[in-house]
Amino acid sequence: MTRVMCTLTALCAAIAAAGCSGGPAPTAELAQAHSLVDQAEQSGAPRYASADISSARSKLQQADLDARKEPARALDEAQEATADARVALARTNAAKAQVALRDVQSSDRDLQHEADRQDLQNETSTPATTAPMPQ
Amino acid sequence: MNKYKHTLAGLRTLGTAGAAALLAACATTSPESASALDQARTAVNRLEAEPQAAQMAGKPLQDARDALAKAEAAEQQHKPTAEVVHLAYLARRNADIGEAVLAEQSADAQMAQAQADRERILADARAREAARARQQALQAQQAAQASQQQAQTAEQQAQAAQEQARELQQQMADLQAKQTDRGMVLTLGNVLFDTNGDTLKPGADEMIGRLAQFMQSHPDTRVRIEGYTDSTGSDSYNQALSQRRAAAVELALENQGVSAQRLEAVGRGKAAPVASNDSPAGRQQNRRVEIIFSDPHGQFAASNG
Repeated sequence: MTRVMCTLTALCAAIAAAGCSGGPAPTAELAQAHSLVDQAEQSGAPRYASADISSARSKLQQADLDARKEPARALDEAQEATADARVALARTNAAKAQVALRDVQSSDRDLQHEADRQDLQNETSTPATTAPMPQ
Repeated sequence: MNKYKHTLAGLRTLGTAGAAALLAACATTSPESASALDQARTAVNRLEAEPQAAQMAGKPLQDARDALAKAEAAEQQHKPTAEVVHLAYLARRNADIGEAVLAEQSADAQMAQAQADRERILADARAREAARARQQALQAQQAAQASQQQAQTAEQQAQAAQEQARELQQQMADLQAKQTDRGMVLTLGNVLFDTNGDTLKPGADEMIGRLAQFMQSHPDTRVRIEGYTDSTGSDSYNQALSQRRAAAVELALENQGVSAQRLEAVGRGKAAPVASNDSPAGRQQNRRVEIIFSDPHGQFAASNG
């Protein structure tokens, strides 16, 4: 059924392609998608959420290409690029928070370790200094 | 992706072309939209299952629900697959945003705990360090106090010993005791006894009293009481008389409360005269009782055999 439909739609697309453009380009949506993709890239998304940011980038590129001739399609693409960029941003923020958390937790462990070591050192050295010297 | 674009383009074209008959033929759900809707529902359900979702990720959760509702409505209304897939995608991505926001919130909350832990660890370490320093200072102070105390005690002991020695000297002087190579020796003259008698005269009481008092204030001192006579008379008589006189003094001291353990009485007869027996004055000097004092520890001088 789907195959039949797809074949039919492909056929129709080929026939109707020339006449199907129209309507204004989704300028606002494209601008928002650009801004969010830039923001995500600057915040470190390529490092922490590379799949999401590259999906956003390629959809946005496609949206830019489609903007004039197929504004409806460009609108969907821009919306998806925006969603991808938001995911990239959110995942980047989460990853950064997790990295920072691990840093502090590890430094806490070091500090605790050091404090315990100091205590231990003191416990073993104190009796030696206070005990009476033998003879 | 390619398929998506393909379908999207195709359907839109169809829409604008007004191919209503074709749409009716597409009434059954396409596998693409079914799969996209499935993924979106799973993502939204997962986010809804998070207890914090409504509170911490309200906006993405709402956006995801709205998009999912639109996607489902589009599916119900047999809208083009591309539209359903697009809306389902937005729903899934908003759910992804919600998940990421929750992950960030969770990390932030743990960060607050970790920072509180850090403050606590540092404060603990400082407190323990301060306690160690206090302990050390206290120990040093205690050691200083102890040595000061020791020095004071030693000084007091030295003073006390000095005082005791002075006192003893004074008391000995009061008793008119003399330092000899036998130790301190007190000579009770013949005047304390009747001639040839062994009973102490009442006048001796004062001297015995002072002696007893001395013995009480020096509880470790012992005395040897030695009786002596002049050379007149037989040796056995003189020996017995000197013995009885010494014993009389010993008894008098016992009566004053001095323990017998600390006393010994011996008769020496005419031995060891202190003056010539040729004159009455000399003989009188020789008739005597001598009290020999031990040192404060009960030991008699070595020559005192």
